[in-house]
Amino acid sequence: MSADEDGRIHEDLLAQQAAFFESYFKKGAEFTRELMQETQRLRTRLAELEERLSDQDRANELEQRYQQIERENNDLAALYVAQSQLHSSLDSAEVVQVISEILLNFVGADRFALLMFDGKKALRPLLCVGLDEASVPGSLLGNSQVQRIIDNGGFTSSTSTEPRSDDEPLGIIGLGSAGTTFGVICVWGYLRQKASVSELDCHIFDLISKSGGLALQASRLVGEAQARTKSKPSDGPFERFSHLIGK
Amino acid sequence: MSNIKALVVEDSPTMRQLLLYALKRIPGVVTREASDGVDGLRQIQEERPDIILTDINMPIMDGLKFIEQVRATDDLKNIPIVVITTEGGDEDRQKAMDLGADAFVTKPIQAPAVVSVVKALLEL
Ligand SMILES: [Mg+2]
Repeated sequence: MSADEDGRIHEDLLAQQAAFFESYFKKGAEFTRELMQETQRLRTRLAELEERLSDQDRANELEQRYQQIERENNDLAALYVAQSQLHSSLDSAEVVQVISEILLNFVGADRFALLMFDGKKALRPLLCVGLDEASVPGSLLGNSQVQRIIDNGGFTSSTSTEPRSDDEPLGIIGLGSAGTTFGVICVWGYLRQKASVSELDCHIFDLISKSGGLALQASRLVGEAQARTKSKPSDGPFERFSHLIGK
Repeated sequence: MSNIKALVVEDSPTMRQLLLYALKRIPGVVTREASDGVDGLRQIQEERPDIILTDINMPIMDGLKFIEQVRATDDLKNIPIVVITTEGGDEDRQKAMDLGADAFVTKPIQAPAVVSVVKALLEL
């Protein structure tokens, strides 16, 4: 190979190398441009999606709020009906019946008893639903939970509706007025389909404890005023109520 | 749809009030109430309801007899009937469905359940 030939080949190689680099960089520039365009496209898409997502979030939030208001509305309606029914009568038998229906139909309790103190300060069942008087535990006054409700009023309830193997009530509602508890309702069982004790159920227990106690007391006073002759000074709430409800 | 006439047949005033409140949550619903089956039939004669909700255990005429009477009347055959039952009342519920009731709601009554059954039956 001559020196000329050698030089030509060298120049060719250099030219090829230059062409390669030129096309390589052109492609690189093109690629970079495409990449930048793609990035821009993705950025726009991302912004769109983010906006849509926040719209979705807002919709979900509104839906949840709506559901919550619906629940509150239903709860308030149930409480309103319960309250108005508790004060719809001044007849003791009817008030006891309303309390029993509220527990059965609103709360879903199907095994409970309404007990009151008799003249000897013993708790005696005035009404039993879903169980007979003989199955009401005689030692309720020895039960610390029952005693606590008698001392302080109000109510207590387990969140579970599963019946207990011992005689321990699932719920205890004090009945009283003017700071005196004259009776209790003990709940031992709920309808099969009831899964748990809800916030509304607790509001209803509270309502029965306050308004129910008052309605019972008012009905007794009216009943006694109407039939003054029947009760003796030694009678307890049990004796005073029992003849009023025809027991 | 305006003025959907709903009849509630239930002997317990407490339950009746709760059902009436639930129904009032549906726009356009106007309610009537009856305390037993005989009262229910009387109310129907006065005004034909678009839907009936009835209890089963009632004095004078119970819910089963009431459903039977309603379904035996040509003009009333197609009125949707919702039965209010207790979980223990499987047998009564089945009897009511056999007599032509369309749906049932189980106690303890929850307003949303009543609303959704009524809306579904009236295609609202
Ligand atoms: Mg009934």
